[in-house]
Amino acid sequence: MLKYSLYRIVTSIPTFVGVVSLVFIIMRLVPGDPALLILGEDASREAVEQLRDQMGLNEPLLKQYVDFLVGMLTGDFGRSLRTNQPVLAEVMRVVPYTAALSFAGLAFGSVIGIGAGLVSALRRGRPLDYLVSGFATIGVAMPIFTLGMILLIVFSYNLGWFPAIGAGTEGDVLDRLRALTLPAFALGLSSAALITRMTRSSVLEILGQDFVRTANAKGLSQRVTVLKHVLKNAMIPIVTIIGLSFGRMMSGSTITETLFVRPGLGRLLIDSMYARDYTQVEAAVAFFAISFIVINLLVDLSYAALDPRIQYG
Amino acid sequence: MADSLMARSTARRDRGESAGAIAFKRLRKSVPAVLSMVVLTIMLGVAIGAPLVAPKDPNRPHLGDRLQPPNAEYLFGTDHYGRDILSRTIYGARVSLTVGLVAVSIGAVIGIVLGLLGGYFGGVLDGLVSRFIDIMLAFPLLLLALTLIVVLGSNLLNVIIATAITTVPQFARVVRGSVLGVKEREFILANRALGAMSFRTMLRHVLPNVAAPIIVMATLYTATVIILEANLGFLGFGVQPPQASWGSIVNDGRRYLAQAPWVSIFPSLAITVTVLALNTFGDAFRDAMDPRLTK
Repeated sequence: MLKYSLYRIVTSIPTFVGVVSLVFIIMRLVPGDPALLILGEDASREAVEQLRDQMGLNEPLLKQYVDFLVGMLTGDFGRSLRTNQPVLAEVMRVVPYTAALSFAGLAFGSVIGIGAGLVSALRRGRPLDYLVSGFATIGVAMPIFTLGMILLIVFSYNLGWFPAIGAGTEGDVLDRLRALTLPAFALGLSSAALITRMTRSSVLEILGQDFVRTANAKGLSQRVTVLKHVLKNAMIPIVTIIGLSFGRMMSGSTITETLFVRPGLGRLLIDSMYARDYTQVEAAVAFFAISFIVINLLVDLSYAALDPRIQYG
Repeated sequence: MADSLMARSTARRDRGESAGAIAFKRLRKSVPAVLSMVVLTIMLGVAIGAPLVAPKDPNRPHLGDRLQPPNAEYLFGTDHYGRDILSRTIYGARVSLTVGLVAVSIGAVIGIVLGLLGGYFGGVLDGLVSRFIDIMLAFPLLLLALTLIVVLGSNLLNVIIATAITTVPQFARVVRGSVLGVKEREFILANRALGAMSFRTMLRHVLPNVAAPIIVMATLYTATVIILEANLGFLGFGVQPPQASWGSIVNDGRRYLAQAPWVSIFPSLAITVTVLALNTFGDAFRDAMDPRLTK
């Protein structure tokens, strides 16, 4: 297990470097001179040249690339073209909001998804199964902003239970949670649909296996059979889909943060894109991609913990 | 494709039916497949015949009728310029479906080429292809598309290019995996033993045998790309006005969601229905192609 973990961590380094390089290349393809963007169209030629020197834009591309990689490793992602503040600080300021949103969304999604999928599988072919499966199928097809808008219209505009925008007052935990509920629910429901479908098919497959019949035959209560035998064995595909949902969460957080006007990494990314603040975009994209790699790695590693039959070496 | 499926269902072969015919028969009997096909045909028909179907000019403001709720004159209501949402949604279908179909076709072709080359020839080529796939897949779809749009600029062509690029690694991965499985099968080995040229074997024998998963995937990814494009439009990075896709109409209505939810809700429903139909058809198609599922 330890050997495999080390192996997976080492082999993800090239992907990591590749991702960061790709971000570097894409951002260098952006038309226009960043120095001119900061100083504005009316800036004098000397001022632009001076700033280009300062930003290292006159260096050979290879040196810029090496500097960029070294900067990433030492946590120096450069300064914002808009505010001249370190971009990493800005990323770190908003990450907690996105982390809270993603984890709350994932928690909603997993609980609802696994629960609904399990119920649906155990009541296979009954009305409840059709109802749950129907909702899940529609949920998978619905864009996340549609879900979010429906929640907004019902629970905020009409019932007034939750605020429509913002992240709540700082320091007021209850207010924060109230503001988090709708966006997290929107995010969660969209992955719940996927998780429900995966749980249902995974559980159905396990239910047909001999050891389940044995468990039933030896008189175990259904609760014990389902929780100890069925669910445990059905977990691998479920965990895979939950891991994949993280990617969805990241795209989804960008949409939800925009819809609910919440601060966060996605919102920061979109705002910097509007403002053509390329260094900030670079940092946000790199941060997203790196977290995605790390999460995929964790999902991979969790397989071994879930299924002792999987041996790595 | 035909060889492998038929080999596995000998009973059917005795009756002289090809695997394609069996799959088609099954599809025709499947209620969800037929229903979703009907929905998709209607959507496509509406998109193609937009000028004939749309009751009004989608871009013409009716300033006296701003933010009107759905009524007899404007079935889906109007937006803040008094534009007819039904007509805008109908014209939006053109943009959204074009992006979906064209982007997936481009992405599939490039992905298939990469996957075939990597999977069939192996070695350094495969190493490069696999690395490329890994790196591209390390970006969430929306993020990659957004970044590309920011660099390319947002217009219809660039939206297609950006979404097409994001689907390339997905196709390449599936094709590569399927090729690896098919490559070692007896009939391919026999072909090579007989001295058939590599490229010929690859195109004439390997490709048809990996076609089924590719077709299923293309259907499902058309749905994914339609949602992706809608998300880009929603975030304001889609096609530029006066052109409108479903996503950008939703974005137009976002500020008026409290007073005039219909502006955003109707195009949202159009997306949902289309994606639902594509997903259902893709699933039914996969089941129909699966020789293990015999009724």
